[in-house]
Amino acid sequence: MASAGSGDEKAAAAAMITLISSDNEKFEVTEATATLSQTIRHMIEDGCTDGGVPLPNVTSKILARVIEYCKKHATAAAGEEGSSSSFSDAAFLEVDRAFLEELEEFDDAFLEVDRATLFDLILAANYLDIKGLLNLTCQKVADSVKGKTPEQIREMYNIVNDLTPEEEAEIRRETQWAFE
Amino acid sequence: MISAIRDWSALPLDILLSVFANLDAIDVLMGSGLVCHSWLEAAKVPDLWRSVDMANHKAVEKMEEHGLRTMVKVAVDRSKGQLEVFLGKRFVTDELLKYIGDRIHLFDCQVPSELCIGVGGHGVYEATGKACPQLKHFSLEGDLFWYAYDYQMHHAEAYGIKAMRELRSLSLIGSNIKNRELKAILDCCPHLESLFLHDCDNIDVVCDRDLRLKCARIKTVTLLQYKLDSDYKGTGTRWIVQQYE
Repeated sequence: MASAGSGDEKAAAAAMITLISSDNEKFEVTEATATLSQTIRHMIEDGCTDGGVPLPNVTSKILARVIEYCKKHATAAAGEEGSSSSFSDAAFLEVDRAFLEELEEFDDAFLEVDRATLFDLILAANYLDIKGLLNLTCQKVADSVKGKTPEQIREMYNIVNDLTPEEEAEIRRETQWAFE
Repeated sequence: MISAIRDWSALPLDILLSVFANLDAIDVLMGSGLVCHSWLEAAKVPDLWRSVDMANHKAVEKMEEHGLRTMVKVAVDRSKGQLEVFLGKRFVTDELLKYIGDRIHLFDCQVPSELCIGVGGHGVYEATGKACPQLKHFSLEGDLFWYAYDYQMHHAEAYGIKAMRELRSLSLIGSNIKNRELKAILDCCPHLESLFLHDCDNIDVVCDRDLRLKCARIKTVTLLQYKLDSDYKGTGTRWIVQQYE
């Protein structure tokens, strides 16, 4: 924090972080948004965010989506903390439920992406250590392979069957139920 | 534009595990775990097999029972003794329970802290008790009609629970267990903290002071059942006893 900090304006300005994508695009975000990423949180704690945080593994296209997610969820987190005292319990629960529903709708819409984007989002969430986003995207992949055969999954995700003959034999031995 | 090719087989192991953690055991065993080398490797990580739910997948109703048992064995092997929760159905046999118990001892990493078996079958209690003497929580959900029509076969089966001496919680639903058997269990399981009986029509705490005394040391006794006393028989009066100290 700057020692000459006077007034809210300065504090708000100090709480802004610049994120730099792999293709050198700069994104200004609040600290509350940025710290949904544990990776960035640790950088802030170590005081190495001056001049921006370079994220060489994340493209501007993906970073924009990740920031969109973090903004929404940071607002949600702040809303939960802030509103508890100003509402009666019943009203609070009502607000809470509406908020959660809105968040769920946001998440559903957020996941309406092609497979390549989903892949990049997963890697970005993993690299930036954003637990909620990683869970969300991994759940999406899990849902898409539920009840599918290995061949269907390979087709869906363009995966080459590189199982060794030993592995194939082991699988056949273990999974006789599927082949009999 | 960046290359549009994404290699899903090159996902880091942690990520694959996060994906697989959202899938049922059956989906991993029959689908995603057989896709390619890296996905198979992920499907073999013991952590993934701490909890094996083989009761709530729609394939359970369609598959041949022998196949289901084979799958459980693969899951147990992959857990490397770390299995903590197992949910099964009617396909579970004594032999399978013995297999689970033996493997968990064999690897000797951790005794299951919870083994939930939604199964009604002859000798199941005894097999489980013998296979997993260190079991801490036991839950069994019977089939009410099945028990009613097949009564003789299950006579006194609950005695088997006596073998689970380390038991902390016991939950029986639709069991034909009798007062005498329950008392024997209470005598043999000194660490029991929670007892939950639901629709166990042969249990009568009202007329059995001895049983009430034995229950007195257990923290929580929950009884939900239709009383079948001669006075109430047929009326379907539901009586509930909770937090019975």
